[in-house]
Amino acid sequence: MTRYIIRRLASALAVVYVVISISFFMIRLMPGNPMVALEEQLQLEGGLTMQEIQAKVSAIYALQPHAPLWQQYFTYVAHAFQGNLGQSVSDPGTSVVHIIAGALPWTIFAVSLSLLLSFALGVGIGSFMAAFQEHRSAKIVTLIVSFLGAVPNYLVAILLLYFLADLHHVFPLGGAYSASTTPGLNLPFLSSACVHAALPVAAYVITSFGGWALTMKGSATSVLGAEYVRAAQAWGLGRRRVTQSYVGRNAMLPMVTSLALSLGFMFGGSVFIETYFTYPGIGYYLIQSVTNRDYSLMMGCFLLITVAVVVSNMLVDLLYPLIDPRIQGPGKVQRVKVQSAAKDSGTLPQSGGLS
Amino acid sequence: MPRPGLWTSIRSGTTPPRLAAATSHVRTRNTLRLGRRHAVAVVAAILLAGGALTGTSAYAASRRSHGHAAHATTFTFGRQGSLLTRSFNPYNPNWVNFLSNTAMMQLAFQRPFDLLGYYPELASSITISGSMATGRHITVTLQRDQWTNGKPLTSADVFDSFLIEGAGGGNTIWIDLKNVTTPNAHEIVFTLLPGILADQVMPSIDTIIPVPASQYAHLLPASLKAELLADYRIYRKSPTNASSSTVGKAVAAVDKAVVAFSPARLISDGPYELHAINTSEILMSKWRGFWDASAFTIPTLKFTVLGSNNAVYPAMLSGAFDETLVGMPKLIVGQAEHTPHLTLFKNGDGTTVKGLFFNLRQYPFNMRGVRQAIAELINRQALVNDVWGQFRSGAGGAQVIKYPSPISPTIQAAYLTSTQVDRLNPYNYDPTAARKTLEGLGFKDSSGGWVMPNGKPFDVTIMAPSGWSGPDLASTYLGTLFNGIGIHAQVVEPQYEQFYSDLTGGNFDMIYFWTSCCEITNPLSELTLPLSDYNYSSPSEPGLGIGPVTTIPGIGRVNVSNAITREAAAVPIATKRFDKLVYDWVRWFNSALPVYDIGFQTAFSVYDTSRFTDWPPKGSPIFETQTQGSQGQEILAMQEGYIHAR
Repeated sequence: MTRYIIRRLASALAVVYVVISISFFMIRLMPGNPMVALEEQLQLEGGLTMQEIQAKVSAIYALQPHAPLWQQYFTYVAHAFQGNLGQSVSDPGTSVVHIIAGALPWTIFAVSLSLLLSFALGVGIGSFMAAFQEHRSAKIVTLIVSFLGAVPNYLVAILLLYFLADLHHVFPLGGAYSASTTPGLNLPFLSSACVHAALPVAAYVITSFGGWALTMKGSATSVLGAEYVRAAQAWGLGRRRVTQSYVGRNAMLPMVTSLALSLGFMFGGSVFIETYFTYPGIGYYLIQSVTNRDYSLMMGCFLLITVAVVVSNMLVDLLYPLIDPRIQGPGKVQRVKVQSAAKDSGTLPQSGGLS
Repeated sequence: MPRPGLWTSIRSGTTPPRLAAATSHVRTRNTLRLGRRHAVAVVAAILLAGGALTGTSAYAASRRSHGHAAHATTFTFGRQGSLLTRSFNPYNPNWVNFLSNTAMMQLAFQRPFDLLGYYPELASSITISGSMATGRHITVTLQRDQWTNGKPLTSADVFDSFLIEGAGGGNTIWIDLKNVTTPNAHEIVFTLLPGILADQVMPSIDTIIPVPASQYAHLLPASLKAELLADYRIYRKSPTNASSSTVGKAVAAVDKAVVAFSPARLISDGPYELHAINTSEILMSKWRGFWDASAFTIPTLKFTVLGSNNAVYPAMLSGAFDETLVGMPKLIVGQAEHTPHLTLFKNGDGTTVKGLFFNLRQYPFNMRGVRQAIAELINRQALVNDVWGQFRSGAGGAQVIKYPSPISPTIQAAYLTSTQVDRLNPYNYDPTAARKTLEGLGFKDSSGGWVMPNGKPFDVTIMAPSGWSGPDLASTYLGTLFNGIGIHAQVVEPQYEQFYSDLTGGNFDMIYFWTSCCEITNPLSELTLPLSDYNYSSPSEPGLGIGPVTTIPGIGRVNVSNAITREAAAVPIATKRFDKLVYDWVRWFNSALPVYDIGFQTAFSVYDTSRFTDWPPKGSPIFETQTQGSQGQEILAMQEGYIHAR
């Protein structure tokens, strides 16, 4: 088991290293540079003469790293593996780690909440659809969730913003909390954070629970038709026992796997929603860093997303045997082979289905 | 304010009951474990909904107190931009621009079209003495103002700020400066070089935004003033030598340190002080230490900063902001015009000249006749009417340039005589003449469209940056126009960075963009944008492809990019030589037409009269005043006794 974990860790590190290396060079192939991006932003903001814009652009140029690219690369990699992701290009004097640390809680709060809500809602509705497949209401629900699952989240975001923020001022236009509250454990701030998260969360949930519901429906339907379920029913096991131990648990297995993987992808999956709601999470910073050609911050965001995905994959690999005994832990592979051979030769008793 | 009906429906339609019902049903049909999970989800949903409802209620209350009550206490600005990265240092690229002229004031606001006229801000008076022959003295006397850390504003603050501006190269007065001194705590004296008119440097003095010496003095070595004076002496002769000189490097090092400086808090001196800031909002409250604090009756300012123009438009139209400054296409302008509580006004900030750049290295645009023919094919007045819009309110804002040149009409009138102007070609809309010109050059109008002298179809590509509504609409308009007359035109709109790369790299046929911007004092500086910044800015970046060496009648054979940069920096304004240079360049520009200027477009702000009334009348010079930060007009209006809560 230990060797397996070490091997997985090594391969994870290799993946991260490759991603860092490719990203480092790829993002520098993008047209433009931080100075051009700053010039555009200042031009669009207005209120500055061309000369003032040029002075600011020159100022940021003076702060750019001017070492050869290969040298910057090795320095970056060496620092990155020590947890130092460098200074932001567009925000001189601020470290990338500091920026990411500020953005991360908002993404974790909004996206994980959205994910869990959509998961819970999707599983519930999916179970309902599977249990009452022939019922008219289940068909209508299937139609609705299929439709919602196909609607892009940014479209829902725009509609929510337009009707509930722009037109009726029920929710704020953007941001994570009102500037009139003081961040901390106090009711005004927490409630402000909730109301600011409400629309982003709603946009995410509305467009993603359908996917979970359809997956759950498919999973539950396939389990309902499995031989071991019919066998359990034939053996006279109680309805609760069958639904709980035979149907529910097995139908949930792929869902849990998907949820774990989704948690890994959540940092990169929030880009559109965070941008539309000006929500200061990782996704919004990523878009801003691309717009500003802030290479360091871009790298930081990519690295975070990569690490999250790699770690969640690894965790799924390691934890899956705990929830699905059919999949044995790496250390048990040999034993399973032996047991399997013994079973084939008739020296071990057969067990029906799953327990 | 939330409508009661909607509020009720949201409360009655909250997610938890629906979810609870679904969960209850699922539990009976599936497993107990699933049911438990759902119960957890229900609890989470209830908590979120509860928090959201509490928060929504607080948000609604906050909106009531911030603007929807009978007597509004918060004035809200709507802006496009980003506060994700921000600095409290005005010389840092991430300076929060919205703090300019709200928290950090200029010395004065220059009155529009009056170089010597000003509205006093931190400067109570600006007086001019001495003779031009020996060098004018400009004495700035400061108001009795106070920083938010309790210290008084002194000439040391202004002096330090002025040094910083010189090190950063953002203040042009240093080129014309002989000396700068602080005789006492309330006065600072600028001594100009002989031959320099005070009028021409006044804008550079007005726009200084002092920073507190208590925060910045440690970044400025005692030798900086002498180094700056020496550096600019070299610069007047050769900008290149200045940057490579010892003093130039010392100055650059100071600039680098200042730019990177990140103060933990803002110490300000304006009518409002920073109360709170996050990634989308800025709250400011009245600062009673401001010298003219009694003039301000609105206790709180708020900036709501959204990520894109498209997010700002609906909020503006629905009355979320009391004032909005954002680039608007014709459609939005029309909607704003027809919204009863909104009023458009011409904003002094953000005036630009828009036009076409030709690639002079690209066949057939290397032929002057082709450029001139295209100029005559475009009905500029129709383009301005159809694309930039004509405003019902008569707010102005779009105006055809009668005699195409990158110098704005106001500057043309100030620097050229009427006889000189009359000699310029107006390039009136004349498709027949354009056709004759093209045919004279060997072009043929066949059934499949125009064919070039080399036998290939006359295909053109018009490029504009994506996301800029004005260029987008205009380039589409031009594309349709050309296709209609048999010139196959394609419009491409790359992202700004790609657009800029193609522009400077000379990879284009024609570009529609702004051809000059904002500079109101030095017409030669206006010419540096097309002739230097966008033209052979480096050997590998041919840009517009003008020259690099060419003959300019009256000036001689010069390297265009170098010559214009040097002349804009070193030739004293208001001298015969300067006036001659302006005319020679304009005459050549008008004839050679490397850039075809179409019109003069003014930026618009929108104010909302729902909560605040008594705005300055339309056409008021207050609205036309140029200020740093683009909210100075409203601050000035408040100070002048306008804008009150209903």
